[in-house]
Amino acid sequence: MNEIKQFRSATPVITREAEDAARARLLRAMHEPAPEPVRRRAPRVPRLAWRLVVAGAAAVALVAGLEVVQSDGRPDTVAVANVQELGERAAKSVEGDPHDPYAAYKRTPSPGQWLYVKETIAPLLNEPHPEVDRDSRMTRETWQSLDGKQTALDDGEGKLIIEEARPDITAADLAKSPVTPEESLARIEAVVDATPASPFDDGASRQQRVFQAISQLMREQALTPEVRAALFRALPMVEGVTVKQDAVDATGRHGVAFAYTGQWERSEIVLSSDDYRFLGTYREAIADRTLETITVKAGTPLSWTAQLETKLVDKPGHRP
Amino acid sequence: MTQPQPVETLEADDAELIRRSHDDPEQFAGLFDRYIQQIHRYVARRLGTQAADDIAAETFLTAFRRRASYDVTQRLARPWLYGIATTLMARHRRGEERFLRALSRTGVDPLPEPMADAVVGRVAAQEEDRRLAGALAGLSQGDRDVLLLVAGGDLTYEEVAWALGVPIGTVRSRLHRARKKARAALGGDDPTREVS
Repeated sequence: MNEIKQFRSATPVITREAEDAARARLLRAMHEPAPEPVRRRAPRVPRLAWRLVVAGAAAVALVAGLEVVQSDGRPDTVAVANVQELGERAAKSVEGDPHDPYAAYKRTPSPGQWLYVKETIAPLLNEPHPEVDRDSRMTRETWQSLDGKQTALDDGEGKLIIEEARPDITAADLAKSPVTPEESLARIEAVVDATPASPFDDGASRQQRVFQAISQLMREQALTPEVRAALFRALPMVEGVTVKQDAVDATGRHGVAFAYTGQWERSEIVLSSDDYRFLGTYREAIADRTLETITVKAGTPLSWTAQLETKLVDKPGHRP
Repeated sequence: MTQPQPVETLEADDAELIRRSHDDPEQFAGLFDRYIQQIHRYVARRLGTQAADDIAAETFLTAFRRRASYDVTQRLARPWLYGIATTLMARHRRGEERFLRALSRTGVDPLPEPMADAVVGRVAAQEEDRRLAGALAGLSQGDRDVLLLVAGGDLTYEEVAWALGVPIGTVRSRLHRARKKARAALGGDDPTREVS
């Protein structure tokens, strides 16, 4: 179980201050005439109660999900000829749109601001199986600090957890001059090359990992229009990236996608076929694969997302 | 030979320190110095550093107050301390599961980062941590305790049995079940296998 040994292996050691404080507490206790009264423990919540809370939340999400799936408006647009054209059209669309929702990020991000990201995602069907449930949806809300260093999310009980984020590469990294497709790609490739492939990359090619990194950036980071355009133009430069004419995001919106087909799975970055804005992502197994106790069949959905809203806000937890 | 003897040979083992601490309580501080970092690390990996600061401190307070009941035939007190820490963590079970689920769902680890660690290693571990977190969250408290004491705390089965006060057969069956689930979470994959 080396994986367990490695799990959170980067956990920091105890600080000098904490150790000194703990030692002082112990020494004080040694000199107390009588033992301190035992601290009363909080009553333990039965496991079943916790499960019911989770189940209740899932049921609500399921109903919400079914509603959004109904909206199936397929835009009437001309298919793009090839992946280069898709990249170019998407980039031009970002550059030329005065109402670009990302125009706000042109200015230097204020350290205090956050990017609110609201997504609809298909939840895992049955942990730890990698399959996601095609038939249910849940809403995922996160807040990303604009310096890329923190992520906040609701813990599912209305409490906000703020954590140190650890993106491979941040929007700020990519916004450094010069911002060109070649340079953006080179920076992402450098990060991929410097990062040992995790066992879960499943023998993924360098190209696939680059594709995933770009997908992640589009989902979660506050990219300037310049960077976004550069990434759209960079995608066709990644060997193996093709265009998929009809792709669907997790809310049922049809669009056109950049697709990368690897040995075991296909990944898609879905764009609106009207204005080429980012809609969401999709991943699917493309070959049967049995790994010890789990069989993943070709066609199994592994991830399905739809971006509903992104907005700059002043504080984590704030909704636009 | 004018050289002083190496300090180690002069040091008492844990049981001896505890025995001495009955008359001279301050001897117990020696135990603290030996194990505070290990205990803190074990708790921090499960609950985060903030909770670990408190629980690690409380582990030694509890141990000190219970020292009279320590089985002095056990030379090393490490499993005993891990057991106390594990018991103290039980009331944070919901917090642990919430964190594990958050990590599993979002890939964001609620645990704080070390100040200047290799960024590369952390990034690589992310997806792995995420899947494992999902599996760990799905385990019962007892199974998770055993798995993390064996794999994360490097205790033997016998030591885990003593630490948790359960029969060794229970340790074995819990570990078997926990490993099976964890392996399934990792896609049943052998991480060392080459995919051409």
